[in-house]
Amino acid sequence: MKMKWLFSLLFISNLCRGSNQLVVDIISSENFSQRYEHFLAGRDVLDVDSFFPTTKGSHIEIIEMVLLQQALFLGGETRKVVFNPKPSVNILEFSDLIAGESLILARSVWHENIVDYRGSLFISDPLVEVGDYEAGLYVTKRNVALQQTPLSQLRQLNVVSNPQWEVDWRALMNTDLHMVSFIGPWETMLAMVESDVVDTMLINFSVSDSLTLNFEGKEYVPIENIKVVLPDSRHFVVSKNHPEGVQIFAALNRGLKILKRRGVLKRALTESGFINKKVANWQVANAEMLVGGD
Amino acid sequence: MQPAVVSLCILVSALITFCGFAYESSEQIQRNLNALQMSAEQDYDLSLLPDIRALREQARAQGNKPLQIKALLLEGSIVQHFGEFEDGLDLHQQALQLAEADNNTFLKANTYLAIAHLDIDLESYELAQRYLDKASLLAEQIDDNAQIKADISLWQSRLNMDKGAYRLALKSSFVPEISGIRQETLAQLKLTRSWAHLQLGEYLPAKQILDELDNAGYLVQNQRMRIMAAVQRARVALQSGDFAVSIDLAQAGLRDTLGTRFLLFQSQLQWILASAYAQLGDYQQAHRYLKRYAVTEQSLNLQKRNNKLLKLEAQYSLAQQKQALNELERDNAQQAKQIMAHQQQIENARLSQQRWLLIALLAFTLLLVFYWRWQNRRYTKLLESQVAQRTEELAERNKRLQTLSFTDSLTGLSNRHHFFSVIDGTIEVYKQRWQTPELQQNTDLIFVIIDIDHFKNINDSFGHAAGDIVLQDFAEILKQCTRESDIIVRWGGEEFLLVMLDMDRAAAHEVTERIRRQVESYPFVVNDQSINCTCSIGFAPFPFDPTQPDKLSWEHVLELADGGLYLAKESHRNAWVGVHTGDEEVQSPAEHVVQNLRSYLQAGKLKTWSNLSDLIYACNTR
Repeated sequence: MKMKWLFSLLFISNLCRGSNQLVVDIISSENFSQRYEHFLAGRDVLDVDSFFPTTKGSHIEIIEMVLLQQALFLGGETRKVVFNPKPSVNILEFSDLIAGESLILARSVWHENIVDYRGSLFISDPLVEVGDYEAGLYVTKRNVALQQTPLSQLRQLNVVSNPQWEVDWRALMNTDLHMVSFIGPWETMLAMVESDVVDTMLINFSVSDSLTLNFEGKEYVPIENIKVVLPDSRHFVVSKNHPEGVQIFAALNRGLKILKRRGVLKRALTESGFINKKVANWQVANAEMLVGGD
Repeated sequence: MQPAVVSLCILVSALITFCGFAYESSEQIQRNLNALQMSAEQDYDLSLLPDIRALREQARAQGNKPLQIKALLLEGSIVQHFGEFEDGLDLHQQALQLAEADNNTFLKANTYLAIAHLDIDLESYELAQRYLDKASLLAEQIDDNAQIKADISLWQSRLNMDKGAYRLALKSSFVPEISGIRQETLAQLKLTRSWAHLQLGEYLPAKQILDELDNAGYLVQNQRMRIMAAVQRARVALQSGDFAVSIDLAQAGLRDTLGTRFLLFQSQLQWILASAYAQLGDYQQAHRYLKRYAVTEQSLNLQKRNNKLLKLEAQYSLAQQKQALNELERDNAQQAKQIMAHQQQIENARLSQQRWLLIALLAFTLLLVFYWRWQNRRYTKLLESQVAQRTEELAERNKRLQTLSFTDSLTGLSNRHHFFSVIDGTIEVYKQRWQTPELQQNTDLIFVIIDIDHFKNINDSFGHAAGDIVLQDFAEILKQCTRESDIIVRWGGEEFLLVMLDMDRAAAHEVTERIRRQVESYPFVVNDQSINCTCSIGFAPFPFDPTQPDKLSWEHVLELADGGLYLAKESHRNAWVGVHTGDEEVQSPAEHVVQNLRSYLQAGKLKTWSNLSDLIYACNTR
């Protein structure tokens, strides 16, 4: 709550002064500022060169906020970045960006979600390339037999997924799993797994050593030796209609290229556990769809 | 003349037309079918169905299976397009059965493709993939397979697109443009490729493909492809930021889809319009198209849901069928089991019967064997008893024969034959006795020869019958005067031999005297006349000389007894004379003694016993 006020204050002061800060929109439901501050632990964001997770739960959002700032800085945009939490109530997901009311989003987005807006949006070089985003098929920890399902027997399992998560949906569509469609909260889907309504659910690999996901006191583990690759890339997007769009996009892309060249992108994803070395040799359940350099 | 020719021509052409209508050639049907297929590909016009069905009937009547299959597939594809999946599936299955019966690889592969198409529409992607794989396998067996392979690639890439594997679709839709592949197929493949590019946000390659297709000019003919191309062009414009162009193209496309069943394209165009208006800042229009898009999507989802329901129902009925089948199989298995058990029972009963039969047979055989053995034994016993009886009879006869042969028939006494048969044995017994000192007492054998005096006179006077009676009576007297153990033999004629066993030689004369006196006093009755007879007796003991028992044999002793008889006869008759050793030991050989009895008597070397005192050669009487 405190942080929220802080951000609001920063935003207002930015509007007032109009200049020395770069406002980056962040969807309020995805406001990770508390964990972000915790991760920085007083460090300057530009000094961060170790991306190992220090908090529980998903870590990629924090890393993206850091990488975005480092890229902008390296690309020549030296203004201080401030995050502006915004509710997302528009008819189109990216309408503020399209309209030029927002300059840039703090989070990367799936490429296929913005292909029809590329006339209005600058799409950065990929932060996560096609094939780098891997996820596990999580089952309840108590069901030991399910955890050891071989690839050849995946067709016997039900997986719950949200058809609106198109990349997840497509990825699972190309596995042998039997799909159960559910549109609703992520927690409910996890409860479906917990209550054996379905067998499994596609979730990012946990950063814990055993890959165990702990949610509200219940433990979930991935089916051993099987992973699913999400068949798309993730990008930062910058508004074409925003007055600063061209400039910021140029800086962002320059910076991303430098980060990539320095290996920071890969290292950040690896250290943060997003690219999980523990599953490097696991079998890919949807390998067939990944052709042509995916 | 000319009107007549014209009439004839009209008649002939009418006839030909009539025949053609009634029975079109296979080529004609094929041509008609191809034309219908082209029409169907352009726009799934329901009005084509009656013609297709008519063609199918004609092909069936002609027994032309390939044409029948093609007609079935075409009809199936049309009804399927209008959502009648059950009929579509049924028609495809009919086609598949015909193709299998006809063993037509090409048509079988095409049928698999049609079924794959249906499964893609029903979102049964796994099944669709299976049928595509089957079609691919068959395509390899076909010589001229460029077209079928291109068709398979087309459906494979469409399947990949539906599954969201855009990159895979790009790969599978790439088919080298070689001769033998229909332009339509190539165009469809290209449209699929460009759509995949657009899904990946790659509008430039998509634009290039669409431009190429525009130049080829084919798209104008096929409504479906034309709309597809319109959608894609609008999307290319959208992605490239030409929103106004995109709106124009999309609206043109929408107009083209009005009154058609291309709901999916409508929704895509509405989405493009909404996106384009939104990006132009015309939120009112954007909202309008977004609403329309939502409605269309809802319809599409409803359709999808219906399809899924249909699939679920099919799965449910399949499950029910399976269950019923399982129950039936279980029943069958149960029945089969019962039948088996019954058969087993019958078999067991049969085996049991056989066993009992065998046992009965065995028992009967055993019984027969026992009976046979019993009979055999009985018979043997009978035979044995008969043999024993016969043997006994024979022995009896032999005995009787022997008795007869050893017996004198007239007197009933033993004959000489009997005497010779027993004498050696008796002598042997006596000789053994002599060797035992304590048995030497009273162990003499006395050889006595008895002759009836003047017997010839009796025969002569009273006849031989009378003589026989005398002989018989005489024998009786001998028996009475002797012991049972003594041997009495009719020696010949009226001469009898008596061998007295275990007789003291000194007491022998008592017996002879008893005999002499008995005979003398016995009244022999012959022919009612009593006559008197006497007898003369000579005897000698054996061993003759107890000091030299082996010196004289029993034959010598008999001759000495005979010598005594002659002495009695010569002297008196009705007398007895016994010869025995004197005081001195006779050294001469036995034969000499026997032959010169009288000399020895005279010399006193031998002595006699006699009832006569006046023996011619003086001898001592007691």
